[in-house]
Formats: sequence, structure tokens, C-alpha cells
Amino acid sequence: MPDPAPAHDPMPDPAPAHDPVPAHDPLPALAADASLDRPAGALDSAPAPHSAPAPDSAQVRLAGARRVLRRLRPTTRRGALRLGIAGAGLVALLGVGAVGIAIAVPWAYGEYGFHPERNAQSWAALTPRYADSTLCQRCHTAEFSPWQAAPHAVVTCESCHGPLGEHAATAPVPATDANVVVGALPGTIAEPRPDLCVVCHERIAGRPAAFPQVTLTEHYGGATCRACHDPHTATAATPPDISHPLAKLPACVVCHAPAGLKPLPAGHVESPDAVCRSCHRAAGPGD
Amino acid sequence: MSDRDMMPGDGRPRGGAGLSRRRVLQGGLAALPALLGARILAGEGPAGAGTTARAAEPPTPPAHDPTAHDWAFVMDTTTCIGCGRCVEACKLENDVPAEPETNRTWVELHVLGRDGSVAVTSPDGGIGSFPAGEAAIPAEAVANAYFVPRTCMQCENPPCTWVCPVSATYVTPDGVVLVDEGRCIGCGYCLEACPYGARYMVPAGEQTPKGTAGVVDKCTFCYHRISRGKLPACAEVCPVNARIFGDRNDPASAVSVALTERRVRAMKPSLGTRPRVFYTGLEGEVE
Ligand code: HEC
Ligand code: HEC
Ligand code: HEC
Ligand code: HEC
Ligand code: HEC
Ligand code: HEC
Repeated sequence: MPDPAPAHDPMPDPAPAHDPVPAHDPLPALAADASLDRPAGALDSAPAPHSAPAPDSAQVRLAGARRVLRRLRPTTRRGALRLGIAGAGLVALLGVGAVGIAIAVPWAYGEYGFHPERNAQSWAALTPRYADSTLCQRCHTAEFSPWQAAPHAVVTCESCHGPLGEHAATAPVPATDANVVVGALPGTIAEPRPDLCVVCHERIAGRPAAFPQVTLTEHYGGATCRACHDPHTATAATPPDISHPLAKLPACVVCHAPAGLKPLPAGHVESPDAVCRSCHRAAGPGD
Repeated sequence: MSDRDMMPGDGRPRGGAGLSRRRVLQGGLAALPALLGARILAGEGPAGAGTTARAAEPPTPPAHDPTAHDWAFVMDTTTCIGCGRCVEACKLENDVPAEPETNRTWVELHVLGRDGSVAVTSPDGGIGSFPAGEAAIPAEAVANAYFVPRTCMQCENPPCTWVCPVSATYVTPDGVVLVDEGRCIGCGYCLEACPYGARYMVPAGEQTPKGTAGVVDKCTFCYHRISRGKLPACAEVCPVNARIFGDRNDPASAVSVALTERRVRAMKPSLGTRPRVFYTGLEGEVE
């Protein structure tokens, strides 16, 4: 270990001329004494050069401090050694403490004010639930391919189906599209909400005029949207107008029953006339 | 320094320079209290331990550099259709309680009258779109009407962080105001201080995404998504790109382009909060 007491080497006062204390000190004896015996300039910076000449509390306190320091001043060699060791120990402790803090406190400490990086990182560590439409392509080409080329390509799969990140990460790759069972996943469109299309497409105040929207009562009598529209492409099959006369004829299904004159096309259900006519408008006169 | 202290071909001095084993040991000992102090300062709060499966403990943060980004949002009121898919997605992504008044994000309908009045409505936060035919003022008196997506402004100068008595809310280097749910005491001062009404108290019986009860929750810009390079859930599901999110540090990002090419404004700019959320097409003093 190097000499622990360099601070106590008798050192000439570096700037006695600039020390204002002797000149203005109201306690000349003490002041003179202090100016001579001051250990190692320890108080060099303490008295401000411009401090008031009148005896003030600061100077009185200063004098008191000097008295204490003088008492501490070792009188024997052994005393000096002991004081030196104690001083060096203190310095070493502070130094080691500083190094310890530097080692123990991460550099990022303080980056978030008083907050450790940890809290922000624990927010960042949550698992996302919504995935990305591109992930769905792998297993659902039957829906993805038409969707990709249709006006609804701007509507992400999960905008309609809800968060499916976990599903996309854990589901088995279906052998065929027929293996995809509607209703298998809780929370997705098992029984599609009747207002799915409506939340985006009903004509309401505030919706930009350029956006395609319909007044429900005027658009095919509010029949289920998916009866005509494919949700993945948004395109609709136009129900043809009825070109034949309807006056004095029996119910539609009489002639359009599965075994009738002209059977219903696939996807149609046998229903009362009013329902048929909510989609099929009569073109002829007299209706 | 002598040549012996250098490794051949290595510019760095070897650790030797007076660092004895004993010193290292001392450093370790001194580090203990320092470590403890840092822990206490860091305020790893009492309720900090997340209890749900979602709170990854210990957190496995994705590799992201929070100092490398400058997140911002541009809300486009000229395209928003008020469908409310964003409100639903936010609730599902972030475990936001189902109550209509607890929302991290919500959508408002602003109806501007010819007389300069502004009627603001937001039924259930707009989660199920807006009812047709509900007119706050007669159609002929309406000058303009549009939807306004709302969220936390993630102010650069946030009032909420000033008023928090326990410093539980803080700003990350990339500009997101987060709540340290372990420190939050649920006093609600920040709810009062926020000029945008963007915060809510987690209702009794409900929890934050990290499984904490009785604290304040707010929009995090989906910190777990953006730190993985994903969009916030609300922006992910928006069918009309009314929520333009991105990094202002990247001049090619959609948000930078929108900020330079569109005429944008912040809400309540006179408060000096410096929001990170900007609006296009906002008219009048509708705040
Ligand atoms: C506009 C809303 C909407 C969008 C966007 C949408 N879907 Fe659908 N999807 C539906 C509806 C509604 C059904 C129910 C169809 C039915 O029952 O006839 C459905 C059904 C499905 C089914 C079950 C099909 C079956 O075999 O019955 C799958 C799989 C599916 N969608 C995948 C996707 C994928 C993948 C995407 C993105 C490429 C997507 N959807 C985008 C509305 C949507
Ligand atoms: C790894 C393959 C895979 C991926 C990726 C995948 N799915 Fe599926 N999906 C399936 C399988 C298999 C089923 C049949 C149900 C089941 O077995 O879980 C299914 C069923 C569905 C259904 C019908 C469920 C119901 O209850 O009606 C929808 C809707 C659906 N997937 C949407 C999506 C969307 C949206 C994505 C993209 C985010 C996606 N899937 C990604 C394999 C996948
Ligand atoms: C999340 C909102 C959303 C939902 C839900 C939604 N759509 Fe759309 N739809 C859109 C958007 C966006 C467009 C494209 C608008 C544009 O091109 O400007 C669109 C376009 C359309 C179009 C016009 C297509 C064209 O040729 O321009 C039809 C028709 C349509 N959707 C029908 C439906 C039907 C039917 C459903 C229910 C199965 C539905 N949409 C659900 C957002 C939605
Ligand atoms: C009987 C079949 C049928 C039904 C049911 C139906 N549509 Fe349509 N829809 C059409 C046809 C055909 C078109 C294209 C011609 C037209 O605009 O009428 C269309 C067009 C649209 C458009 C585009 C309008 C535009 O301005 O471009 C939207 C949006 C739409 N439908 C939404 C819906 C919604 C929402 C529902 C359910 C409430 C629905 N449709 C029910 C047949 C139907
Ligand atoms: C007396 C039997 C009969 C009754 C009742 C009848 N149809 Fe028809 N309908 C026909 C025949 C036959 C055709 C085929 C005409 C053709 O191919 O030229 C036809 C054709 C149609 C078509 C195809 C478009 C067209 O006009 O060619 C529609 C749509 C249709 N019918 C709807 C209806 C509806 C809706 C009703 C009930 C309001 C109805 N029909 C009642 C016999 C009937
Ligand atoms: C939801 C609307 C809707 C309803 C309800 C509906 N149809 Fe149709 N219908 C259509 C559409 C769309 C088509 C054309 C596309 C197709 O072939 O599926 C069509 C096609 C037809 C055709 C074949 C036309 C042709 O030229 O081949 C007949 C016949 C017909 N409908 C009769 C009926 C009868 C009868 C009823 C009542 C029992 C009925 N439809 C109810 C929408 C509807």
C-alpha cells in the first residue's frame, strides 16, 4: 500500500495572500493561529473571498471549526500515523463504494427517470394477440387468395375474425380446406354476428361519402348480407328481376320447388313469397 | 505504464493495474448496500409480481432499442368510418375491461353545426359503431360531421407524470407514457390531470394486462407490439387506414410522410403538452 497520509504532509499554504480571513477576523489570535496551522489547505475554498468584513455567523462558525481541527491535529508521530491510516481508510472506503455502485447499478438505470428499464420491458414482454393476415395464407388459401385480389383486401382477416395470433401459431396445418370446421374456434365468427357487415357499411351520419354504404331498409330489405355477398371478396351476385308475370299465380315455391318447373338454385331455401321478393324485384307491370 | 501490463498485440491495459483480489472483494462487499439502495430506489413495487399467464416473468424482452424510435400517430378523420373495430381490438389485445367507460381508445362522432356548435357523441366508446338516424341536430343545420379516433396523446410534456405523487407514470425514451403498475397507488390524480381523458381506473374485479388490480391503466401504443415491429392493434385492424402509426425517425415511414404531406394539428395545442398524436381534417374547437 502506498503511504496513506499524503494529505498530512506539511504543505505551504498555497495562497495566503488571498485569504481574507486574517485581515477581517474579529478574533485575531485564533485567526492567526489558524492561518499558520491550517492542515493541508483543507479549508482553502471554504471562506468566500467576498464575505462581509463584519463579524457574522459564518465567520464565527469557521473559527469554531478551526478550533476543532486544531484539537484533532496529531501531536505525536504515532498520532499522525493513526490519523493518516484512518483518513486513508475513509478514502479507500469511499472509492470502493463508488466502484461498487458503478458495478451494481446497471448503466440503463435512470433512463426512465426513477424507473428501472424493467418496468418498460415488462410492458414490452406481453404477448401480442393479433397476428397478421399474411400468416393465415399458409393454411387458408381458399379464403386468402380471393380476399387478396378483392376490395376487402384492405380489411384484415382479424378485423372480422378477431385476434387469432395464438390460433395461427398453434393450429395444425389442415390437410384440405374441408377440414376447416366453422364453429371450432371460440370467439371467432362461428355464428357470424349479424351486424358484422353493418358496423362498416350502414349509411350513418359522419361516414365519408366515398365509402361504399347502404341504407339497410332500401338494400334488399335488410336480408342477411351473406346471402348475396361473399365476405372474403365483398362481391355480390345480383338477384335477377322476375321477368314473368306474377298476377294470379300460386306461391313461388309451387313452381320453383326442387322438383318444380324451374327448381331453385343452390343455396336457396324454400320461403314465403315476401322473402323471395325482398331480393327478386318484379320487372313486369301489374305487381 | 510498463510494457508488462499490456497483452501482446492488445491495446488495452491488463486488468492488473493495482487491482488486487482483495480490492475486488472489497468492491463486492461495498456493492451489497449499493445494490440494496438501488433496489429500493428503483421501487420494485409491492404488487409488482404479475399473476396472469400473460405477464412473462421473468420478462423476456424482445430485442429492441427504445432510444432508436420516435413513435407517433396520425389520425385521419377524413377516412375514419366509425366502425369501432379499433375499440374492440384494443379491448381484446390489452385486456381492457368490457365496461363501456373503460377504454384505452375510443371513437367520437363530431357533428359541427352551422352556428359553430359541436356535438360530440361516443356511445359505448363507439365499439359497435354508431346508430343510424340519431341526429343531435337537424340535418339541414349540420355543417360537417366526422369520426374522431381518440387515444392517449403520449404527450412529450405530460401533465399526468407531473402530478403522480409516487412517480408511477413515466415516459420511455421512444416517447410512450407508461404506468408502473407496481408503484401506482390508484389515487387517480393523473385521471384528473389528463386534459384528454385518456386514462381509466381499473374497475373492481378487473385487472391490467399484467394482472394488477386497483391501479390506473392507459394506452401504451401497444408497447409489446411496436417493440416487436408490429402495429398497435387498433391500427392493425383499421379497414380504412385512419390510424397511421410509425416512427418519426424514419423519414420513409407512413407517419413521417403523413406529417409532412398532410395538414395536421394536435388537440389542445395551447396547453403545451406536445402530443404525439396528430389529426387531419379536424375542424373547430372540438376538444
Ligand atoms: C369482411 C369480414 C371478413 C374478412 C375480412 C375475412 N373473413 Fe373469413 N369469414 C367471414 C365470415 C362472415 C365467415 C363465415 C362464412 C360463412 O359461414 O359462410 C368467414 C369464414 C371464414 C372461414 C371458415 C370458412 C369455412 O370453411 O366455412 C375461414 C377459414 C376464414 N373465414 C378465414 C379468413 C381469412 C384467412 C381471412 C383473411 C385472408 C378472412 N377470413 C377474412 C368474414 C370475413
Ligand atoms: C397452421 C395452420 C393455420 C393457420 C396459420 C391459421 N389457421 Fe385458421 N384454422 C386452421 C385449422 C386447422 C382450422 C380448423 C379448426 C381447428 O382445427 O382449429 C382453422 C379454422 C379457422 C377458422 C374457422 C373457425 C371457426 O370456428 O369458425 C377461422 C375463421 C380461421 N381459421 C381463421 C384464421 C385466420 C384469420 C388466420 C390468420 C391469423 C388463421 N386462421 C391461421 C389452421 C390454421
Ligand atoms: C371492418 C370493416 C368492414 C367490414 C366488417 C365489412 N366491410 Fe365491406 N368494405 C370495407 C372496406 C374498407 C371496403 C373497401 C372500400 C373502398 O374500396 O373504398 C369494403 C367494400 C365492400 C363492398 C364494395 C365492393 C366494391 O366493389 O367496391 C361491399 C359490397 C362490401 N364491402 C360488403 C361487405 C359485406 C357484405 C360485409 C359483411 C360480410 C362487409 N363488407 C364487411 C370494410 C368492411
Ligand atoms: C339480395 C342480395 C343482396 C343482399 C341481401 C345484400 N346485398 Fe349488398 N349488394 C347487392 C348487389 C347486387 C350489389 C351491387 C349493386 C347495388 O349496388 O345494388 C350490392 C352492393 C352493396 C354495397 C356496395 C354499395 C355501393 O355503393 O357500392 C354494399 C356496401 C353492400 N351491398 C352491403 C350490403 C350489406 C351490408 C348487406 C346486409 C345488410 C347487403 N349488402 C345485403 C346484393 C345484396
Ligand atoms: C306458375 C309457376 C311459377 C310461379 C308461381 C312462379 N314462377 Fe318464377 N318462373 C317460372 C318459370 C317456368 C320460370 C322460367 C322462365 C324461363 O326460363 O324463361 C321462372 C323464372 C323465374 C326467375 C328467373 C328470372 C326470370 O324471370 O326468367 C325468377 C327470379 C323467378 N322465376 C322468381 C319467382 C318468384 C320470386 C316467384 C314468386 C313471387 C315466382 N317466380 C313464381 C314459374 C313460376
Ligand atoms: C337473399 C336474397 C334472395 C332470396 C331471399 C331469394 N333469392 Fe332467388 N336468387 C338470389 C340471387 C342472388 C340469385 C342469383 C345468383 C344465384 O344463382 O344464386 C337468385 C337466383 C334465383 C333463381 C334463378 C335465376 C336464374 O336465372 O337462374 C330463381 C328461380 C330464384 N332465385 C327464385 C327464388 C325464389 C322462388 C325465392 C323464394 C323462395 C328466392 N329466389 C329467394 C337471391 C335471392
